[in-house]
Amino acid sequence: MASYFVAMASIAFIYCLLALGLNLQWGHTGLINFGHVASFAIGAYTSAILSLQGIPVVFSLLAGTLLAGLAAYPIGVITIRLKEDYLAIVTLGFSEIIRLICLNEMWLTRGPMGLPNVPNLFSSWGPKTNEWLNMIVFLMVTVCVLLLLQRLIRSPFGRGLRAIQEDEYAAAALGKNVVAFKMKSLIIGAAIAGIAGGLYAHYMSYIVPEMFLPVVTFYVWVAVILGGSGSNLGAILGSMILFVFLEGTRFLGDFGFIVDKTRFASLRFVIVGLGLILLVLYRPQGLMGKEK
Amino acid sequence: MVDLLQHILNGITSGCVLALVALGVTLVFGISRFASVAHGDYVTLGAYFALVANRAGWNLVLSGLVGVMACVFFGYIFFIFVFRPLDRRPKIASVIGSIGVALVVRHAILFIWGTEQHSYQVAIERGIRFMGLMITKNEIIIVITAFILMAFIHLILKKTRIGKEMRALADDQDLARVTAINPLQVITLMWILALSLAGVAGLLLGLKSIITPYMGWDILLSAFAAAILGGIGNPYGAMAGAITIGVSEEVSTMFFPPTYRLAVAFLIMILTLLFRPSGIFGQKVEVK
Repeated sequence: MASYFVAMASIAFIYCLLALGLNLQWGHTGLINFGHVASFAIGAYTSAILSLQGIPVVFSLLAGTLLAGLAAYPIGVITIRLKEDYLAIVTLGFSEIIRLICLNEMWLTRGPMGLPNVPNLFSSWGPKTNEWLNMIVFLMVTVCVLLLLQRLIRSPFGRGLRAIQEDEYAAAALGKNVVAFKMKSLIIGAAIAGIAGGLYAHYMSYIVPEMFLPVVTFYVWVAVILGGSGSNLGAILGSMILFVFLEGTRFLGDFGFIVDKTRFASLRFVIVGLGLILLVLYRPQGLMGKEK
Repeated sequence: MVDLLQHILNGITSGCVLALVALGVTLVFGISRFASVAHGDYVTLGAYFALVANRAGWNLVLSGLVGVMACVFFGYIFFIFVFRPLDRRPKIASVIGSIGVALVVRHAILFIWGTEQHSYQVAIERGIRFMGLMITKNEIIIVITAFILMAFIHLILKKTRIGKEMRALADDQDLARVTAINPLQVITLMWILALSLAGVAGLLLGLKSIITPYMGWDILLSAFAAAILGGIGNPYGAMAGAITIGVSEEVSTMFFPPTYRLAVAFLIMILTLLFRPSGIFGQKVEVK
């Protein structure tokens, strides 16, 4: 039971990181990023591939984070000046292209067979995986990112973001470089998803393109909106609630309440979808967000 | 050479189906002003309801009608309960609402029909050969149906009063409101048209290849690319854009693995946004 808890908590922290990244882009800046999973995938594959080449995990994680952030730059260049719907469509397309590359470039990613034997975070200490240590590291990374983000949104940069969200034209008129602010937010958010991806790859020790379907992006959206867009603690709370719901109902399936497991899984997502609709309709500020 | 022509021919067929989806996407964007992520899943919904009718022994025309009716029925319910109340809020709310609708529709389909692949019961016929080119009877049906529907949309937009009102509303919402146009009526008709097109597209897509719970989602991105290429909100642009994207995707398979077809649509979309964000066939549309 304890090891089950540790495993679940580790995955939950990864969801929290993803939600924190998206919350910076969407909650604090208003960018509709429908391709968050692309940054997650880039972080995961980069770190996995590099560490399989023998590069220490610390450096491979760093490389994954950087690359995930950098990859967001061209997307920003193309879409930030356009209406927000375009960013949504382009990022969605970007995430599908990244997945197609993971699926087809056999020489790099082994395609649908995936990458097995990705080293554990502490693989240099010996072959035995220490689940507890792993989880504590994930917790620490999440807390660090949370604290950094809290600091960031109170900095002049954060105030700039808030000004842009409230009135883009007024902020521009006051001399704020709106495009640069949005670009930084997009890149930092993507880099956070990149860290999450790297940690995920080393934790699972096996990654396949199927883990990076667009639906992952939408779960993160549900978590952020549930917690309250614009609230970092809300993003964490939303991720935890969504995760407990998804895992808890999976448990019901395990106990044999439902005959057909895959069908039961789809029923859970119908509920998630309905939940999202109800939130947008009746409580757009989520649990901890400010009413606009 | 014949090979190239064959790919172009195949591209026109898939472009025709794509055009119906892209038309829906662009109509919703033009009138309701948001990018609906759920539109692809409406296509899937139409395909599955048509499948049920087809399994019950109904012919394809009747089955297609069942699919269309299901699309309109469920889509209208979502319009009434989700998108209409969200209309007064920032447009982003509608986009996020459409994620919810997409999740609900897709997973309801998965719940009811499972993950298996299906196909319609139609007589398998050998393709027709013409000057070295090959086309199946189904493909001819697909092209003809799509062109009839596109002509039909053209007539509604250009010849009927409500069609003109629709174009007026797409051009300038405020101006349209002060000229005694009833927006609700126009928006309702727009949704009925967009949803019917999605239903027919579902049938045609299922006829062209196979029916899976992800078929509509998989075509959605190409549909957006087509709509953007043609100038989003512009129905004629969407049709031309869809044929262009369909042909490009198909011809690209001569040089790249067919799994990268989507990347071609994506590339065209990116190039359009970089160099001519209002679309190549577009009149001026609001992009910023």
